[in-house]
Amino acid sequence: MNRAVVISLSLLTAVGLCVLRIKYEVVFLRKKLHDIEHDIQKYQDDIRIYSAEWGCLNDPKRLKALCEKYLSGMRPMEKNQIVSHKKLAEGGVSANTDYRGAFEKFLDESLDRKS
Amino acid sequence: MFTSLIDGFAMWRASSGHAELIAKLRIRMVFSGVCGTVVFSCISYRLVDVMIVSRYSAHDRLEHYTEHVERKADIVDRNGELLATSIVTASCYANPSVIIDIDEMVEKLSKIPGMPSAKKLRLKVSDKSKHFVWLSRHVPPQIQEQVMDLGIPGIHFQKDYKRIYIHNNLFSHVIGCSDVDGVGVCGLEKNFSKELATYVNLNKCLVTTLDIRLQAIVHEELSNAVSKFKASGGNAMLMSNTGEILAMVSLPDFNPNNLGDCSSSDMFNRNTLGTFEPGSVLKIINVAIALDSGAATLGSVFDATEPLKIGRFSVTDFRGKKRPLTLAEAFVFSSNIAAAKIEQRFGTNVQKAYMKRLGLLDKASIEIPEIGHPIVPRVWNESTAMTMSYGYGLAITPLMLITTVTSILNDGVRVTPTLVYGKRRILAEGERIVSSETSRDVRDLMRLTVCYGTGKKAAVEGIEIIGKTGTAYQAQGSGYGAECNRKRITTFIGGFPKDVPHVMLIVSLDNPKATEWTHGFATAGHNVAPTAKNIFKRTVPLLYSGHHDDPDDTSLKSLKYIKQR
Repeated sequence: MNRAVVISLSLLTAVGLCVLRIKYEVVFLRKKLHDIEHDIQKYQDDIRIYSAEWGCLNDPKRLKALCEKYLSGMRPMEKNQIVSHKKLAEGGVSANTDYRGAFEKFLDESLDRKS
Repeated sequence: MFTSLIDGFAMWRASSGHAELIAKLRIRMVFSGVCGTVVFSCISYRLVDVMIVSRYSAHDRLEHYTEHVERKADIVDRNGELLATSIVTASCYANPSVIIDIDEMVEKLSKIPGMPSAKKLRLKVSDKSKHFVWLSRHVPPQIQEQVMDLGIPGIHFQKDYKRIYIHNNLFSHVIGCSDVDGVGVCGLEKNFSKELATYVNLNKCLVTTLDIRLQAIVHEELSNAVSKFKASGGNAMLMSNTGEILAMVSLPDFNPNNLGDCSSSDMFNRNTLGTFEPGSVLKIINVAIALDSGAATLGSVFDATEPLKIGRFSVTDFRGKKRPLTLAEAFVFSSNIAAAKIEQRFGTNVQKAYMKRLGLLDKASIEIPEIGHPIVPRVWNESTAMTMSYGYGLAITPLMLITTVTSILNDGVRVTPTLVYGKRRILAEGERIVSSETSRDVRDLMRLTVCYGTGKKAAVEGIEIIGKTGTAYQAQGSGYGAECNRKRITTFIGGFPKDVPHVMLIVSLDNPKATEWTHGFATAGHNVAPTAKNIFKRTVPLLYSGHHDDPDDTSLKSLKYIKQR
């Protein structure tokens, strides 16, 4: 009888200790998970701020102003600057259009600006 | 009492010869009593702590509040460029019940720039029974540091989220805006309020059909036109033939990051809410009905020599040709007289049935809450139908107009406008509203209008632009105002390229003035047509990098019906 009581109490104590250990492990893991989630949230918030800053840097008005300041010799490509192979073969390009000369002139102007 | 009870029991048992048993029993009962006392003490302590000490703490209230201030997902354009996002900020709050010296707190805090004034601060913290009150939302880091350096008890900061709009005014009417708690007030922000809160947990964002490059071009050109022609405002939209809105601008606009400075008129989206009589651009519908119903052909002749009498009014032409015109000429030179006579061919009932089928009598459907209803005449008689043929008597929104015209030009298949990228893929194929032949003829006529008619100033060399202009007087009270005081709305609607108009554009100016540059004219051909030209010139190379052969207008079927170019 006494032996049975001792064994039962020992088992009970052992189970209690195990439960206690598991509980503390769960608490520790939960804290770790919370920290990781917090870090993820923080990094996501940081990324959003960087994205917003990048968006501001890409503002079309700002880019246009920068282009006008630093690329004054260049302009958006226009339709009449593109010639199809078919038209070239047909000789449809105006003889007066000196593409090579225009390109060389552009290069000279660009080099002058840089120097 | 407990001990005396045990002692009494022990004495009684001792007298009966069970002393040993009684001693054991006593120990057990004392042990049980001690355990019970400890357990009940713990429970009592916790009850007091929960119910009295920690009751209604500021922290609990704040947690309850922050449940409603959630992050929202980003809104991006079709190329992934960020348009709206939520960034983390700090908001300052006070717990008046623990502030020791209110006067000192008010004096110190009010000196910091960006914090409320002394009067406002005192009002906020005057009620000492309160445990939580916001002092300032979304405080910049520098100010936050200054406040924390003061070390005032009862003043704290809480993590918060602020909705910011990267490009300020550029997308104001489409994206809309949010209040200080991040709740959508108008535009996509309001319409997708729930979805944006859900998407953020799924790491998704709301992808719109808008294109920031096109939006910037349209905004810039429209702003230039409004200032150049001294207009009260203007609106413009670019739409693809799949119904995707590529750009939507309405002027005046507002800065959604600073709602305090904008008025209700600034927040009015002319594209979707502004209903007005569109004028001659409605002749596109008139001609489409005539051709589709078989009432007339491109070569049908209508006499536009004399003004047409409708009751006590007479229909006249602005700088008319004063001769019989073919249907093609009537369209290209925008004759009101001929338009009314074309309508007489198919009649009121056919017009009403077509208008219903084309969707001009029902409000448009798009993913923003600001949508205007069309103003349809209550009495739709012969004279109303005739005025409607050249754009009066029916007030519609620019969105309705561009949707209907795009549907007609899109080989006659209905187009549904949308602002959400990818949505068109799940939409069922549109129903046919006019025949393919009618669609082709209308496209040809719109091309000729740009080549030889009222839309000449919209022509861009090397690009096959199609279009139609319209100038209408604005309704003022019961009429259109005195001759000298009339206000106009000028509209251009067109697209590119002619055979399959992938991109459609509508531009309107509200009350543009005649200038020296327009030779004293204030009609659409002199103000919105050149504006459309500028927009096409800049947007077409962005949309089509490939080469398109120069347009060959001599092959147009309708050209033979234009006698005088």
